[in-house]
Amino acid sequence: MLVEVRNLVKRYKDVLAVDNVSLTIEEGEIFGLLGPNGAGKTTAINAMIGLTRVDSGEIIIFGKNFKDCELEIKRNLGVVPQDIAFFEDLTSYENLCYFGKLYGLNGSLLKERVQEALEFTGLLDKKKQNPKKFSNGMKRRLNIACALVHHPKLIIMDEPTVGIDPQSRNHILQSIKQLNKKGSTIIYISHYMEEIEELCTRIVIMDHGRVIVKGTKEELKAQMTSDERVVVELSTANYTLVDNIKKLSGVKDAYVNGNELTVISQKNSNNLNGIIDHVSESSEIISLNVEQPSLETVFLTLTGRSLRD
Amino acid sequence: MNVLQIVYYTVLRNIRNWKLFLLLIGAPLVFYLICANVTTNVNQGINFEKIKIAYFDADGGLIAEQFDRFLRTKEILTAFDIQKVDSLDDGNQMVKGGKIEALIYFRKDFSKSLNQGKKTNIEIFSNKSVSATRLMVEDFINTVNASSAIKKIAGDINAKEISSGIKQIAVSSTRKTLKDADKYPFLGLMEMLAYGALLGCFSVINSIKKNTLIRFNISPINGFAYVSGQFLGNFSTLCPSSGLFIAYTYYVWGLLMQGNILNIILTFLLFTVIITALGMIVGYLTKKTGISVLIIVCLNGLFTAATLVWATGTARGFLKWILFLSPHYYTYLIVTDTIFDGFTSRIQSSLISMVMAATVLTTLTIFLGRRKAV
Repeated sequence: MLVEVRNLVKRYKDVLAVDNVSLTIEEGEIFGLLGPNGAGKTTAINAMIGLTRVDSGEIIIFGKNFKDCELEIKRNLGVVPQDIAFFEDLTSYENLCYFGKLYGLNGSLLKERVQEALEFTGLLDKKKQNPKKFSNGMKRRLNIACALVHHPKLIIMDEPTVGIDPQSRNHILQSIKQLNKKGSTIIYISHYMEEIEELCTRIVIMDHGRVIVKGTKEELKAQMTSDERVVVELSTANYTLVDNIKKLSGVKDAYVNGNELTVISQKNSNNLNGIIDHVSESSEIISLNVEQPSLETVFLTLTGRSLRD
Repeated sequence: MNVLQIVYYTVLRNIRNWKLFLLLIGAPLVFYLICANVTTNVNQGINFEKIKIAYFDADGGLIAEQFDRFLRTKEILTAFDIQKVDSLDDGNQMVKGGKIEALIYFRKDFSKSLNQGKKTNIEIFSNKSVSATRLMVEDFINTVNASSAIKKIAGDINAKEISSGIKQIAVSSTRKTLKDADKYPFLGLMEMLAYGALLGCFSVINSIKKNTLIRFNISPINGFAYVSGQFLGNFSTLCPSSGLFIAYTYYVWGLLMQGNILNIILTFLLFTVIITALGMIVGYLTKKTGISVLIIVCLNGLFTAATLVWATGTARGFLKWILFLSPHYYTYLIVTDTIFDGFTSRIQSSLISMVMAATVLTTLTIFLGRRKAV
């Protein structure tokens, strides 16, 4: 086990920001942390990297207690903060050298690591440029490079893809997968459900300072959904077809909307072949879509749809 | 990572911030021009009439004779109504009664002390802390300096004020004098140097606002190393400005310094430490650029103004109290007293005050840097 958080509590005056949170993160996984604004994710993460002093609880990283071995643990931690955090008056190369030196890198090893980080984030040809003139995507990539230069064992990424174009986002997501393949453990915080779904092996959803659910994405979806939905686009649709479909085993409901037929069945009813047979007898199938419950559905079901501050 | 590397990158960043450098030079220059303009306008409004003064010569030496002749010159008589008195008590009674504005007094051993190479004083007794008599006596000393060995102690007019407003003008046996005209550029440049506090202040605020502080807080270096590195970086950036000021001082008064340059270097180093710390403290406490600039500009203006009015012998009320907190005042005292043969005890006490201020402010900077930065 790489990270173990036990009964973490953090209070800001009357507000309980983190309420008895316990987590475990295994080596080599990409761990997703989800939650609406003010859920306590950032406070929990800040406690894990030493930015916030906790009121009670224990944080064990790399098998060592954070309180006792803070500097030693920090040596193997890489953090990509939500906000851009580098010096705009230093070049990309100088920024990476500066932050690399903070972790004890020097001489040829430092140069090698800086070169590697720039290459990894696609900024090698911009190494002598001032980041002030960078696009938002490039700034985000440099922000990531600053956290990777010392080859950390555990990387914490707090919304690293906010406000960037799809190309940069794709580059970052691919980079994260590569880092993980190389052996880094990653804690990934994001509001983008599709990113979490694509990257994370295990997910925790927090709300009101508490962990409300945790598991793999499949486990979460399974916990939250009891129905399966099939949407079929037809050349022509009629009500006789709807009646026939409703008679199939496991079908809870069926209806047409224009040329689109929607069939709602119980989970694991395995009636897709029956639906296709019935539909193809009376009409031509233009498209068929089996709608899986998304992580977003799970998230909204658990945390509600009301707006948060 | 050692502290020196943080110092290196802090200096590098400061140097690349050319807009701030422009501000550090431009703003004080404008401030100085405004002050000079205001002073000129105020002086133009004075309605002049003859000033009644008296003098008592208990010495009877050569200098007193020269002074007597000086008082009878046409230029002096157009501005002053002068009478001789027979005793110090008579003169003092006239001052207290308001019959005369000031009494000039030569002590009995005035000439003897001068001949022995000791410092001595021409004393002025007055109920007014601002008197043209002082300027007239200074003028006499400067005139006499051209032909004899009498010199006024430069730094200030050594205005030792006693309850009734008695003043003394110290006289040195060496050929050294500080002209009023030299005080303005000296203090103006010192104010300019003190605006360097903005550098420390901006460095603190930028690291908070631009989140770079987070990088240090999550890295395996301790807070003390980071804050002291940042402090030394800002101090090092300002050192060349201090060096230029020392060079200016040496250029103007180099011939009079007689090997006292180390004292002046030490003073300017302490002054630079104080302004760096002051800037960083303001940055840590406010964490906002606008309010920090306002505080630093006001403090600097106040400290400079207090020193300026003291140097011209017109310090009173609130500004007089501010003097004791002003690093500008102590720096001015040490530099001028060192160059123009001032009181050694005053140099020592001023140096001790500056060392104490530098120690306290540096400690406070490091304390705040470690506790308040996040």
